[in-house]
Formats: sequence, structure tokens, C-alpha cells
Amino acid sequence: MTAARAQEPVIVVDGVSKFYGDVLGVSDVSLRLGRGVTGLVGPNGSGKTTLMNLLAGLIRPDEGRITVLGLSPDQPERLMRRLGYCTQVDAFPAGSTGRGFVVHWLVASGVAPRQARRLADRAIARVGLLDDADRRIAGYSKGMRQRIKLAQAIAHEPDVLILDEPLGGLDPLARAEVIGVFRDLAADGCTLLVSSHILHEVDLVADTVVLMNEGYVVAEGSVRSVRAELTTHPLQVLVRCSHAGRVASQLVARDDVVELRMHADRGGFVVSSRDADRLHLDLERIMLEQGATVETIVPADEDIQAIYDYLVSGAGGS
Amino acid sequence: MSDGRGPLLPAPSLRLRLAQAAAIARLELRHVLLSRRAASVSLLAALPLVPWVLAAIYGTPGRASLGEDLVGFSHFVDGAVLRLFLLLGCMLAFAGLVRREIENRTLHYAFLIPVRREVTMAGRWAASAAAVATIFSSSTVLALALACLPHGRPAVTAHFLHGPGLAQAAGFVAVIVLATATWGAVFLALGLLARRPVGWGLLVFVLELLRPMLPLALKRLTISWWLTGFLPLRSQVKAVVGIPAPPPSPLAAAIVLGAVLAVAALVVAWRVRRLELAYSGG
Repeated sequence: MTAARAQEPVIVVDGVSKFYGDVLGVSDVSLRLGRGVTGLVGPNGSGKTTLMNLLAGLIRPDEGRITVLGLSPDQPERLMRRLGYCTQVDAFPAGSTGRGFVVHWLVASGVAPRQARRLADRAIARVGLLDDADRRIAGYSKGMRQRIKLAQAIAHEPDVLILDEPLGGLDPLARAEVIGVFRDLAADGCTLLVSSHILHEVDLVADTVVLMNEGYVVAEGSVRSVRAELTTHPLQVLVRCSHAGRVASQLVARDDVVELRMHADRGGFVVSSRDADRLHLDLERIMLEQGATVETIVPADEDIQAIYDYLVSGAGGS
Repeated sequence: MSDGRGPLLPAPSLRLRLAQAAAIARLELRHVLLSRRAASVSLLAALPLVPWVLAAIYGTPGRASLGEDLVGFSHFVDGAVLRLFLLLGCMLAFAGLVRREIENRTLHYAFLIPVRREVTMAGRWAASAAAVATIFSSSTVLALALACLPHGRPAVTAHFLHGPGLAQAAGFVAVIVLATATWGAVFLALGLLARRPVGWGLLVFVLELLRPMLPLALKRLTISWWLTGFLPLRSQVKAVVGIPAPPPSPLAAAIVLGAVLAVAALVVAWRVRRLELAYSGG
């Protein structure tokens, strides 16, 4: 894969709108998503599933154009060879076993039965469900059902994987395992678009995020760049160091600092500043001057949850 | 764009599409045969056996010749099997083929397969048609055997081993298969076009039931009228009640039924390509 090719957008959405009668699904959405893992974040009804269904061709845009890997979703015969979609629909064909469910999909795709069983077993093993593969899905837990859907979506080793709330219903251990699968897939060159309301976990796995609200894309980019655009919200920095009180007293006098909260143990504080770059430079200088030993200096709100709260919860915008 | 991973699945081609349709049909056939729908269709197929079982048990042998009884059987196949039970069976099996899966929220799995949607529908239609035709052909052949039973072994043996019996049985099976294929395609198309296909299905049902009473111009609007062109004893079949009319020639019947199948297939293809699945919410 050449560097130029790696830069090409994998998913292109141009001015796409979708209405369900009078109800807005998504409005005038334009995105260019490259390789890696993209988190799609937004509250219920924000248009995440609509956007994913549009990408997979399950619904059609009223306006605009979509391509995935240069292919239109109107061409399922070509696109679905390279795209896997794990929907959040928790329903399965009656009577299916886990293995049968995945094998059926592959055989219907044109894979020879023997190879289909091999590919299915590999995918099922990858999601850690091989021991239960011959049980009926009707007897699976919610987490197992999520995993067998994921196995089906990755069984043909797609180049692009769309995952709608893939972590829902999983216990913490299973979540960690599935996030590990996402990382492995991304490392193998698969492009992932992951929606989740468990923002912390999207944060762990996503290189870039797309935030949606009420059918609109409200922010897009790396978590850091999106946060940097939110200039109306002072950046919060968590500082743990020796002589924290003295360092804090030096900082509160600055005009860019809008808030400073000391920790109860007085071993650190959270400072909010309108000028992040200057704050970091001054922090280093003050700590040197005060002979303070640094334990931690980390952004306190440079994560998806904080950005989401700022953008979506009515706390403001950029 | 390719990064060298390369899709595992075979590239699209006509051969692949045929293989996919066959694979989908095979997989669906197992599913259909094990479904509750198959049990209902089997029940419908068993109902035409009842009068023949009663006739075999309580009938008076020697009242009519075997030939006369087979003409009566041909009337029975047209009137009871084709226009009543098989029609209802096809309505049951095909009209809700897509809508049922939308209600069960499982149709997206079929649409996420790298297969043209028309190919998926062709496979599913073929599976349901094979199931319904097998069930009704079996019951019709069994009814034919029961119709012959009162005439004794020598007459039946002579008719089937040395006469036209086997050809007639094959003819009845062929009509059942053709009827299932055609009505199946029609009801599949109606199921995709109409939100409530039952209303349209009942209209077809009433029209088919009343066919003997209809003038020739209206008879020609029914599928069963054209199917009579293939009944093995068609030349001897005469209307018992209603307005008599000569049966259509097999060639005309083949052309009309082929056209009906083609139109239904086009409607299904057009509709299924435009079908949107929004049941997962947003």
C-alpha cells in the first residue's frame, strides 16, 4: 500500500440527507473518512444508525452521494465483498446456531461450504465464541449475540467494517476482548467505523471521531483537534505535583486562567485556561521556579465524553 | 481502491450469480421445510385427499369406469387443488415472504450478502416453490392413487404400466409445479407491492374460484384457466357448471404463463432493488 493510497478517503459522504417522511434522519452530511478507526458518537436519534445504514445500502439517500472504497452502496454485489456491517438489530433467523448463522452467510455469498466452515470458525474463534458455536443463538446471552454478529461481519475479512453499538450488552471482560479484536483488525489494515454510546471505550480505540446531533455532523477529526476547536470552552488540565498549592497560587493570577480547583489532599488541582499553549509553557516554568516534582500533567477534558458533553448537551459549541 | 488484502469472496460473474441463487435456494429450502408455514401448507395439501380416502373406503366399485373417474379427478385437480388449496398454499407461502422477514427484523442479513437482491429473491422464490410444489405434488399423486384404488389391481396396473397412467400422473405434477411457480411469483410481487397483500390475494382467490361462471374474456384473466391447457385430461374436461369454454392450447398457455412469470419477476426485481430497511431506527 503506497502512502498516497493510504491518504485516500475510504468513505466519502457528499451532502447526504435522508428523511423518513417528515422525520429527519440525517441532513446535509459530508464526510471523508480515511483508514484507521473512526468513532461515531451522538445521542439516540442523532442519525448514527441512519448514516451507517446509508453506507451499507440498506437505505438510500434522498439527496447526496456516498461511496465506500469507491463503490456505491447501490452495488451490494461488489461493495459487500469488501464491507462488513454489524447492525445493532438483535434478531436472528429462527433456529440458527452460531456457526450455522455465519456459514449460511458465507455460502450464500458464493463461498464453497468447506471453505465457509473454515472461515466461519476462524471468525468465531476471533470473537471467542468457538466453544458455543453449535448452540442455538436463541439460547445465547446478549453479549454472545453481539459477538456472533461481529463474527459474521468479519468472516469474509472485509476492508471496511461498520459496527453499530458493537459493545452493547458485553460485560467488561468481553468488551476488552472485542476492543482488542477491533485493534487487531485495524492493525491488519481494516478501516473501522464504530458507533457507541460508551464514549470512553470509543475513545480508547478511535483515531478520529465524528460527533452527530439531531441529524447533523457537529464535529469531525481527531479528538485533540476537535477539542482545540471548542475555543469557547477553556481547556482543563489536571496537575499532580509537589508544592501544588504554591504552583496553583502562581497560576490563578494569570488572566487566561478562568478556574482552578484544588484537590482535597492538596496534592494537585484542575486548572481551566483559555490559552492552552501558554498554560503548558507557564506551568513548566512555574514548576521549575518552585522546585516542584511533577507527578501528572494531563488534559482533563480532551476526551470524547467531554467534547460530547460540550457539543451535544447544550453546553455550547465552537 | 485496494491495499493488497484482497477480498476473500469470489468476483461477481454470471456463473457466481447462478451458484449464489442455487446456494440460497438450498439453504432456504431446509429452512422453509422446517417452518410452521410448511406445516400449514401440508395441511392444505392434505385436505384434497379427504374425499378420495372416503371414496376408497365407502365408494361403490364398478359404478364408473377408471377412465370416467380420471376425468372426474382432472375436474377435481382443476377445481379443488389448483383453484382452492394450492392457491391458498401459494398465498400463504409467498405473499409474506419478504414482509415476514421485515417484521422479524432479519431481512438485512439477506441484503448484506454480496449478492444482487434479485438473485436473493430468485433463490428464495425457488426454495418456496420447490417446497410447495413437492408437498402438493405428493398429495395429488396420492389422491390419484386413491381415485384408482376402487377399480382393483388389474385395471390400475394396466392403466399405469401399459396405459397412459404414468404420463397422466406426470402431467398433473407438471401442472402443480407450473401453478406453484406462477402463483408464487405473482404473490411474491403482490407482497412486495402492497402493504396488505391479503386484500389483493383474496381478489385473486375469488376470481379464480368464480372462473367457471365467468365469460371467456374474464376466464382469460385467471391463471388457472391457462393452466387447464396443460391438464393431461384436458380434452375431456368439460365445465360441470357455469359457462363452458374450450381449454386454451398448450402453446398459448405456455406463452401467457411465461409472460405472467416474466412480469412478476420484473416487478419483484424492481421493487426489491428499491426496498429500504429502516427498522433498526436511528
